[in-house]
Amino acid sequence: MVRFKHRYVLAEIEFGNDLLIYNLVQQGRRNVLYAAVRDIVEQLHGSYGIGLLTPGLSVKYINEYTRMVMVRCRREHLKLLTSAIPFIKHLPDGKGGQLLCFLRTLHVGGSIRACQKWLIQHNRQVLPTLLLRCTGEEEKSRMRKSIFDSNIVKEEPWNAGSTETAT
Amino acid sequence: MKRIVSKDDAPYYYLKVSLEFEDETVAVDILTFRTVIMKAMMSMYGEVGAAIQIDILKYEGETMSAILRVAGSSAVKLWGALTLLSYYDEKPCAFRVHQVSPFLMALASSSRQLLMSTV
Repeated sequence: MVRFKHRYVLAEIEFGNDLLIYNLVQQGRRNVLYAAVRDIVEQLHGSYGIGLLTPGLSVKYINEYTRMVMVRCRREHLKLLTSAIPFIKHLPDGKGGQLLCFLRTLHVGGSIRACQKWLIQHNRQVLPTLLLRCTGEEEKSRMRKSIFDSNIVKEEPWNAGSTETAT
Repeated sequence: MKRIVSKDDAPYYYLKVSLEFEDETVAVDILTFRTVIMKAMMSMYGEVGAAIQIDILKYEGETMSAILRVAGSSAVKLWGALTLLSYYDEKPCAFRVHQVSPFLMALASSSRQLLMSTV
């Protein structure tokens, strides 16, 4: 089967002053990051890089609250993208200024589902770290509850016909 | 007698090029020439391309022709970038690539410059 294979790069945006929510104009969200990636690839790899990357380039997922972004590119040109992402130094805020930021690449996956599975597991590991940074008893109890909720494993239903041997 | 066959890219490629401006009175010195080459690589291959090592082995100011040396893996990039340059400093110009060879000796005497006597 002939098809275009892609790679999905999962990155976390880090702002210098630890912004909790990245306030971006709602409809311009995906375009802002797409423009930033395209500009940096043009600067680093020139017209050649733009020509290679643009057909498969697309921003697939942005989460404002956890600051996660997922960018897609063609499989052959993954290195162009991953080498360019660390050079993104600022993103425009909604009011015409520039925010200093850094995109930390977390994971590269072959499909959106694979990236999502990894992201769930990553968030499970990060939650206890966030618990340590909580101040105040009320916050801590809420954190503990969400850690507990996220780690619940579905219980297998009892098999009614099985005989129980007493041990 | 031992025969050695090498299948990789040659270590260096040598290009004989000359720069032509549409306005014939323009002449550039060697430093400006190097800047023109760098601008060509920068526009086509970005900063990564502009960082490729390109040496000017010989430069003639009057004819603006030069012999360049570049790593074998980047020869095609340089050749393409030079070919596609059309402007420098808002002046229309063009690079003519006369000869490309992995051996410098080949640029010294090439059959293109042979003068056959026609009687």
